[in-house]
Amino acid sequence: MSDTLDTPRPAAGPFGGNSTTGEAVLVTHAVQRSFQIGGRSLEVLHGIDMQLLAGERLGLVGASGAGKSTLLHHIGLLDRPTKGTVTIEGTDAWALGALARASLRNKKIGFVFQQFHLLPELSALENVILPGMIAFSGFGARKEKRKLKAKATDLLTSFGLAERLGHRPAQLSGGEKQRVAIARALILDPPILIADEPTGNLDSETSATILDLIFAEQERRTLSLLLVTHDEEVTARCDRVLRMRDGRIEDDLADSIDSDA
Amino acid sequence: MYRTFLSWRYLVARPTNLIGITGIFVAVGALILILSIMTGFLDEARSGIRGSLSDLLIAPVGLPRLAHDGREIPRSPERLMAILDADPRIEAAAPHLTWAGMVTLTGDDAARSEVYLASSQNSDLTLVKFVGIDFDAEYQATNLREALEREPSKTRSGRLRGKRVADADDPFASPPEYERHGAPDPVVLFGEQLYSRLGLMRGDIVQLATGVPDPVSGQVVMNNAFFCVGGTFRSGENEMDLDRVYVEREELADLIGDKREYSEVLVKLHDYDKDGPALRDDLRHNLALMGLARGYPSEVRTWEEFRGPLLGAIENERTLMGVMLSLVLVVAGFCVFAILSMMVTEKRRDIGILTAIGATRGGVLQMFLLVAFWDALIGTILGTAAGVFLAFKIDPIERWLSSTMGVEIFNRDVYLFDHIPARVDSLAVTLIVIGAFASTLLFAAIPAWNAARTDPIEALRYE
Repeated sequence: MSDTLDTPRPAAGPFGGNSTTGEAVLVTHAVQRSFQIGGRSLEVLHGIDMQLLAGERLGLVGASGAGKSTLLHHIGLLDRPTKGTVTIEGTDAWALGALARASLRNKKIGFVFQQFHLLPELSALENVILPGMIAFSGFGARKEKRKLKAKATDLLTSFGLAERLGHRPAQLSGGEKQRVAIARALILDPPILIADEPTGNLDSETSATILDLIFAEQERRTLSLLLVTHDEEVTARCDRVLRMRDGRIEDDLADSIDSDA
Repeated sequence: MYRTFLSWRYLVARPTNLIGITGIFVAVGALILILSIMTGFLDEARSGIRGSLSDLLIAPVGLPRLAHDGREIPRSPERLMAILDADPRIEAAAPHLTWAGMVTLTGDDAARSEVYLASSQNSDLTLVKFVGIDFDAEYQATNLREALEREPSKTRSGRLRGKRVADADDPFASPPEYERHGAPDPVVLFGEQLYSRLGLMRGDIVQLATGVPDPVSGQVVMNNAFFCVGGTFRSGENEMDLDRVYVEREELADLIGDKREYSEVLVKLHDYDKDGPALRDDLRHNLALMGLARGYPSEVRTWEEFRGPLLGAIENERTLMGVMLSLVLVVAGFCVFAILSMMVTEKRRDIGILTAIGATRGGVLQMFLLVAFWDALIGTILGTAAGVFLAFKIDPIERWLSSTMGVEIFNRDVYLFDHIPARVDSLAVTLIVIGAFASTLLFAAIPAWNAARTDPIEALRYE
């Protein structure tokens, strides 16, 4: 249990932070999703095959309605595919029971949303430790909570929010909220970070600092980052970019890896 | 951990929860208070019903008749009393001779008799039940002494001021107010209500009259005798205080021409709860064997069997009251249901977020149930405390309220008690507490279930 609370795992790749080890952390195989609307079946995802490699920055772009969000929900284990499998670190997530899957979501995946999605009743610090509280719900929870608080305080301090620990989300600016959300996503040191247009609700200056923070953390922790974005400048900073259209992945812009090497 | 933490946060952050807590508080408090008063009333009524009944009642059927072996069942209670006295389980036994008759105030005044005959109303002739007792045995076996010494109640007329009888150690002694003419009249004691209804005074002369079948002619003949009013008793049992008069057993036997010396024996046990039914069965068996009874089971009864239907009715009433009042708890449950439903709708996004960061459906369900649990916990603790406190203090509170507002809330004259009776029954309190939790959690289960079923994708989609 306690290993998830340790400091970030050392970089696994031989090429430093900005490289991949080539090992797939998350694999979707022939993921298909259809919805029943008024007796008709509407297929939103037409068999998606994709991989998120360890330590890579993967961009996901596409027009709205292309199925980005739906794919993200499948990757984040929030939605069950009609067909196909989602495998995280070799485990077929939908073959697991609900409890084990929730635990996988809790420990392996960090979410950063466009709308921040912080709980309004909780302070910044409490929002950050929430995934930890979900992870440690049994005996010894009190001790874990103390550890979590110390860790969350360090994390928020390193994000420049030392003065904001006790503030409610309503008292924070957009950039501060997103930094709290990032800290929450990283508190259990997950190998995967999913960011769904994390700067969509921010002005350009704040956006830049948030993106810098995300990329810096990705590099420091060798995270596998999946970043949904509209911004071409952002995709330029990714190792790989997937482009979606009409529920399919159109092409794999894998050139940036080659250019790095 | 997060379930407890978040549920408490939600509770504190939402003042609407106070409504739910208040609802449970009021329901639990009112239920405890009202049921305690009901229990108190029933206890008083129960002891009233039991009244002078003692623990066991032996009433040989149709005395004197033949026992199963052809022997005549004795008219006098001596043999029966000797057997009862010998039983170590029995504390005391008192023979009764009961007979129906009339009381008339005509006394020895010829002029009053004239007036009575001319009157179209015959309210001067009152049907009563004569009960002939041996007062020392009666004192030991029943609460008669208590009834004779009980504080006179504050009735409208001032008649009952002072002692009920001149000397409780000898209640059948002639009272000091008695003006004797010739040979002393025997003494009769009236039930308090009958006494005040007839407008009697201690020392008055009354006539007791009754019909007695004559074994020779086969006709019913009237016997009558003058008695002196020695005082009153107050059993607390309406019926008894209204139609019963006590005389000495010998005097009554005399009045009815010695046809009978006793009609029943009241038996008091050392430990009724332990020995009651067993002793009853023994007596049924033994008395029939000894020719002291004919052997019908109904000849020896416990007081509960004797008053069975009435006690059953009172129990029913209490149960019915409890069931009806429990509806208040259901209303409180509705309250929690409404508040929690609102909260679940309001917290849809939070539910989505929690699911996304690893909470399970079960966890979400438990979290909202916990909110209801806190409601129930706080409401029940406060409600129980208030209910129990009020139940213990209801009498002074009512007095204070009555005097402050100038309105009499509890009219003590209507009932036979001079205080508001209340008894906190711990079992009832436990059941109310369990009921409050059950009702709250049951109603909360519906919105909590809805919360657990919330689709995280839908919940997270838009603001």
